[in-house]
Amino acid sequence: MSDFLKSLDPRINRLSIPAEFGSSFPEKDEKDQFITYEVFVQPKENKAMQHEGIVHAPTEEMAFLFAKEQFSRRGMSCVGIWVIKTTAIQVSPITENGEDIYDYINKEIMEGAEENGLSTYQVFQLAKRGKQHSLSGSVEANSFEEALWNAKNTFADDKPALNLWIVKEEDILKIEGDEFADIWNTLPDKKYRDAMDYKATEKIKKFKEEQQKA
Amino acid sequence: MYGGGQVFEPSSTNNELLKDEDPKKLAEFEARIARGEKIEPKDWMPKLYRKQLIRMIEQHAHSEIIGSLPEGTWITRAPGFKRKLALMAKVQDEVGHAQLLYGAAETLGKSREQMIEDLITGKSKYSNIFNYPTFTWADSCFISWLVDAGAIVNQLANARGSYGPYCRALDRICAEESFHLKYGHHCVIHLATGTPKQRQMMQEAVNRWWAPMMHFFGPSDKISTHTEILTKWKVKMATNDECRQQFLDMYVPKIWELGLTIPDENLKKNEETGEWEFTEPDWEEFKRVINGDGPCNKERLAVRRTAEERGAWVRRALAAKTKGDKYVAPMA
Repeated sequence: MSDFLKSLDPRINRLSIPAEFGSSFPEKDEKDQFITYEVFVQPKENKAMQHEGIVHAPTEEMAFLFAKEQFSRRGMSCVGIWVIKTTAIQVSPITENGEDIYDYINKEIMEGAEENGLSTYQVFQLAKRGKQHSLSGSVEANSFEEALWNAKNTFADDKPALNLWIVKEEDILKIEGDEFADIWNTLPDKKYRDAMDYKATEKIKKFKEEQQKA
Repeated sequence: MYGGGQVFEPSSTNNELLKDEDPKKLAEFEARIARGEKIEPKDWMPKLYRKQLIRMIEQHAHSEIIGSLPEGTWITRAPGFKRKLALMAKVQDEVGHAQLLYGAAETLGKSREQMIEDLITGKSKYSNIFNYPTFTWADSCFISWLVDAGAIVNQLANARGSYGPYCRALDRICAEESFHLKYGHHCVIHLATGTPKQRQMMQEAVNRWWAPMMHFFGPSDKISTHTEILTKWKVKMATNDECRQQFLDMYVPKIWELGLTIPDENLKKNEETGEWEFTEPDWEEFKRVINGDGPCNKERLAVRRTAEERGAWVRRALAAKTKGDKYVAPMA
């Protein structure tokens, strides 16, 4: 055993980790970090799909599995998750001083755009710096540029949008709807993940009373 | 959870970084922060801001992932099914927090892989408190309640900072920490109000962990022009002393009400100043442990390194599916 790291942790002893190791990083032929996927979660039927963060994954199916663990393991409900490769999202500039990004989009934007045939594009808007992007809806277009123009005509309203993310429908893995409802069925059963499940006021009160008597 | 005590050393390179900045852009950047707006990844930012944030968020992420080890060791030995379930959920949360934080740091341009490499080679640090061992179940209860409580003090302060992705990660983290805190308190109450043996176990854990807990918030901050800038940029949101005082104010009475004692005879609240007084922590030990000579430094890094090495074949096998995909920094 003397050649292995000794620990108070029985699991670590079972790993048979060499007691001595160098300080250099393990050699790699090439970097092996997976790419990132952006994750969007819809917590309830009447709420918009909202950006929650990222996961690293080799495929979109695994990105979904990681996203489910990371972003829907807590809370009473979840009705859908979308995962999208970071590189598949087209991003507008972010505006200054609360200006509306739609004010900067005009018809000329479509000149010279690379047209790829008619597709559906999903549009996410940022309402305020520091908040998360949320889904406005979809538009039909022949290019990202046309999608921007159509988004202006469809979604621009009184409230300014500071930044837009646009994604082609085919680049989204959607896990939602009745077909997948079972995935989140057990969420309300996991009360042990919730602060509410650990009430102890009574116990402390009783303890204090006993201390006073003694 | 997360250890505070960020020490932002002023250095000549930092001054160099600041000297070259475009004054107009810098003024706009500072005006945005002064207005209370968040900075987002694609915004212009000073090099020093980027550098310090990466360092801070990265250390926070490492603390989460290393911090899951001393508690994780008690999952298989936690007393009863319910405690096992809860502790597993908590440890999963901690690792999840690391993932969120690595993601936030990546938006600033450092890859997760590079951060993990810097952790394993000792180039970047993590919270010092996780270099101490958990001898008994009561040690794990102390961490769940009080180390997490200290972390929440730090994290709530940082969540008011200026960098959007970090704030969003912290909001999510703080929400989950409320479960950790309640669960930890529940565990400690159970032992402290239990049999004489259970009480003794809990008291011994408090005795062991008090010094590391006082170290947790770091030494008093030296006020320099450098920390002034980081405060102005809302990178540093509270001094180490402010965090330590807040922790003492909130939790010492809760420890005392359970009939537990704290191993510092000088610990008391000065009713005139409203400040807690205590024996000055042993900062020599703090430095010694941070520099690698603590009871568990070697083990913590060895475990992380082993995970990296022994998991490499899985990543290699899966990477075959990702050929042609180019890594870019995540968006928000």
